[in-house]
Amino acid sequence: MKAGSLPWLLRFELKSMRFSLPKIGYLFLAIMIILPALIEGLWPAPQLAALPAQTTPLMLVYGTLVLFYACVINLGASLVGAQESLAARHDFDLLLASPARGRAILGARLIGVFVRAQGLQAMIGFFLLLWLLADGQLRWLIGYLVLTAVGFAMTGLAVMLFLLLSLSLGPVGGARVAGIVGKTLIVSSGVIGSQIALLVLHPSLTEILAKFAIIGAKGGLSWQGLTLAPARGLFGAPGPAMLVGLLGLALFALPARLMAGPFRTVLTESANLGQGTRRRSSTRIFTFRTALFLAILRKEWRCLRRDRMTWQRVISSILMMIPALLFHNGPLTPHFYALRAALAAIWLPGNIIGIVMERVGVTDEQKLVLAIAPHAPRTLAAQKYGAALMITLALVVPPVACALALFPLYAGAAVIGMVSNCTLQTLAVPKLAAFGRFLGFAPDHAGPRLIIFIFQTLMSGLVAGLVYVWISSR
Amino acid sequence: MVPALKLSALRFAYRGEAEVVAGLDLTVAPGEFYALLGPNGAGKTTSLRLIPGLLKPQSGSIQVCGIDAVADSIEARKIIAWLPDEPMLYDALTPLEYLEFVAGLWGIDARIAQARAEILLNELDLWGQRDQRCGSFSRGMKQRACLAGSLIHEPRLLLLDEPLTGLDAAMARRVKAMLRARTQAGAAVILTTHILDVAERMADRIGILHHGRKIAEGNFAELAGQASHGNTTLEDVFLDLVERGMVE
Repeated sequence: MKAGSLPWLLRFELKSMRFSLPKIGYLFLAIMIILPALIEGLWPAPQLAALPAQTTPLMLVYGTLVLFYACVINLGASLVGAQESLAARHDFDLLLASPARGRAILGARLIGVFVRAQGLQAMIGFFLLLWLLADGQLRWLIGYLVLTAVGFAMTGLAVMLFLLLSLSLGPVGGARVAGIVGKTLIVSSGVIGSQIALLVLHPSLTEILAKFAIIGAKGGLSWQGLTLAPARGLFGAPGPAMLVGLLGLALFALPARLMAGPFRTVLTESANLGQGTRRRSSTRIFTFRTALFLAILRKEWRCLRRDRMTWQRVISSILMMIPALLFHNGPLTPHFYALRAALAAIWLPGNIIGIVMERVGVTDEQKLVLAIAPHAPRTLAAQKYGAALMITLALVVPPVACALALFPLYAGAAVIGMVSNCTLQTLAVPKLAAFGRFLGFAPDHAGPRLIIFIFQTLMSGLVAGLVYVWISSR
Repeated sequence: MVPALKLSALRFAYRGEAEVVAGLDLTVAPGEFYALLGPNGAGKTTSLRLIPGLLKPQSGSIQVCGIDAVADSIEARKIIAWLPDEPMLYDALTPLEYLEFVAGLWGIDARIAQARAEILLNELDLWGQRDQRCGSFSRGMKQRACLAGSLIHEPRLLLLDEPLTGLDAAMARRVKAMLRARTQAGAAVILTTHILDVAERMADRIGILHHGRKIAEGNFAELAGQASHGNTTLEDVFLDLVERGMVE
């Protein structure tokens, strides 16, 4: 293999993707995503089992939804891949200063973006393959090839988007926005796509809600794998597959040329994040508040509301609720809205409370600042916990009070759900954080935080499911 | 006069490892600028971390301006400034917000804290970036913001671990002047550095650590006297003393 050539560089690019705890966390997330699909694959719903071999209008609609959904999730994964490969790595200067050809360097990096983004999809593909094998319908695998081509196209699009974001928002802002948008798309698109698909397949709203509660109870973040299956209906023929494949490759090749050409400077700037020396004058009057509790509360609130992961989780939680609120086959009665509001009240604040407890009550980004302060650790821990509770109350009490006034039964159920959700999370999150520390990770490390996030979603889903069953039985 | 810092027979070892600080004795007077030198792993940072109680010594005593810092580390921390080698900043906060938080931890009156914050940020050339989040700062800017945080409560003992890392020449000069002004006002400064020129020019006394022990101490002339003849710079003296310390 010639030194400096594309395959030689690609070898290093792939080697750099070592398995780390965050990666294991994402793998865990991927397994949780496909788990319900696997269960559904082994015990298929009657509607899925009855899918005919020929394309029907229903399957066409379904397939289009799948294609749209595959585009969205691939775009999200590719944006994260672009952020990780193009912005978070600091070896651009070294590579571009080497005698290797610019096109080979950037081509290898672009393939790296694609491989990173496809990690999740590949996991699903593996289980899809098992499913199709069990089903004896391997010919429908052509559908997955189309989705891979979509992945290529979306990688290209994501890199171009990343370059544009870096140009308009600067290297730091561009990478940050790309990361937020990408992760939000990944988490939320699966759920939205799958719920729409479920609504198409399942005529009964009650059934859908029951399904939703069960998904939550099972801890599945989405039914991503399930939504891939109908691709076998739409993409059974090789013609469209080849067309999408060619388009995908073209979209993949375009950013490689752009990166090697006019956007090369943008890329190298993006890879040198943290060197921002932008000056900005301000006339804002800032008044100090230095009472101990107030200082901690203000600092915690600022850190929390400026935390990317907080908003990612909040937006994802809201997006997860939208399909259940928008799509319905039954009458729009107060019962309909109250039930959904009750479930939302458990799901959304459950996740938010979890975030607050984890970020404010249990951990601190800079433990040394607190360790050096002239207070006993217990005093500071109590103040931080108090701040966490105050933020939680401020976020949760107003909507709950309104709901309680309108629908006492559902709001009561929501309160019970929320309290148990909060209690479970408050008890468990410190243990998970301590486990993360035991493994030698910083409190804000992506791996432990991801595990905590998955746990919170699981708990919220479990409690929402139980409350749903309780309300339904009354 | 009560010394700003007095360490006596201080010993510390991380669990299951060899002693990092092995019977260290050190006395620093108020208003004194003391440089702590040593090769990597000599125990400089660990020694500094023992003083405010971030680590607990296995034996020995620590007196900070007459306060027993082992028995009452909270009281001692009220008058100590600690600047670690890695800036301890919150990326999501602006320098002003960070200073407000630190002032709150030290219980400084809001008006006084606000006035001091403005002076410090101006002195460290960060006033123009007072509303910019620290996460976007360069290494040097983070170091300056962190220094401002450690000085806001007007400490009487400054423990600075590599304080000039990442600073450009002009800013390094300004920080040195700030530290000198603090020693003239009666505060004691203990600094670790690998920039020997800084120690040579600024320190009233220099201590050299090796394997957790103090192998030499004094001003430059005294250290040169302890080293072999012909060593004319602190670098030569330092290397000679460390080499001899290794042989011993």
